[in-house]
Amino acid sequence: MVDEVIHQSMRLKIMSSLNVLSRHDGLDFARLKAILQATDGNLGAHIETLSKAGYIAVEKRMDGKRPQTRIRATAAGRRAFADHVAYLRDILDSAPE
Amino acid sequence: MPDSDPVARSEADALLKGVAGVERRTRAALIYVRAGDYLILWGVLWALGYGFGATLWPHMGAFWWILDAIGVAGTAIITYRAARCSEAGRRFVFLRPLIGVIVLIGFGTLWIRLAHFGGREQAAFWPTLCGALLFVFGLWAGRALSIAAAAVFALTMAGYVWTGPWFDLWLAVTCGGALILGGFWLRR
Repeated sequence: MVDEVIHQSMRLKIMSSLNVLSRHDGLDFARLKAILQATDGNLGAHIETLSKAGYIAVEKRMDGKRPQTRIRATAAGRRAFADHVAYLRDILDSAPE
Repeated sequence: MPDSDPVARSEADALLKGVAGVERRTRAALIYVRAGDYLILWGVLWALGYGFGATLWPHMGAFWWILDAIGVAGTAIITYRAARCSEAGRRFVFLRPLIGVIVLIGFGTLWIRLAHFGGREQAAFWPTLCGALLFVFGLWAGRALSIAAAAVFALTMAGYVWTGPWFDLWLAVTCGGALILGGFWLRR
């Protein structure tokens, strides 16, 4: 069974990046955008989808006078990511060349 | 989640390669942020040391020891703040850069004494030693570090050959400045 929320390429990349961090740590929107080489609109839309699914948590706060959006993977998101990567590996291991 | 069409092997392969690439870039970005803090700290200390050290003769050695002590303390603070967020291998992560700096200073001091370096050679020794080590580290951690290290090494050697009595000032501006600018560049 494919988890369509996380299977989409950009959303899988977002989860890949956040999953590298420790459990309570997150990435700023701008840094995540640079890592993924995404546009504001594209990244924002996919973050909203992942947030609605409960896979990521989005915190908005002020860094001095600048608004900052910080994103981190939730426990459910990490589980879903691990399951999906295992699912993709299974396909590679089981399917003929 | 709803069932959908099965995923093709080629698609799974492409997605997993994408995952590996993003993980690699994220790790490099995290290293760059922390390395940027270290570079800014040591860049400021080098700029101060090379900029004012010569004017404080004969107390230049003591001045450098004070700067080194500040550098070690600053490295410990930066590492501690970063390690607070880390869960895996927390103690080891905290200690590694600190031990690295102490070993580096000890190694350099030992060989400066044993080899009886002159003042000009001593001044060139530290940036070239740090540059070489940072270059090698950058081969694994990220090429931006290797580029910054190569710049420090090349600027030091250019100054050693061509700047005559202005060598210390050259090191303060170029090597200290290169570390500070490189640090901000990595953090951006």
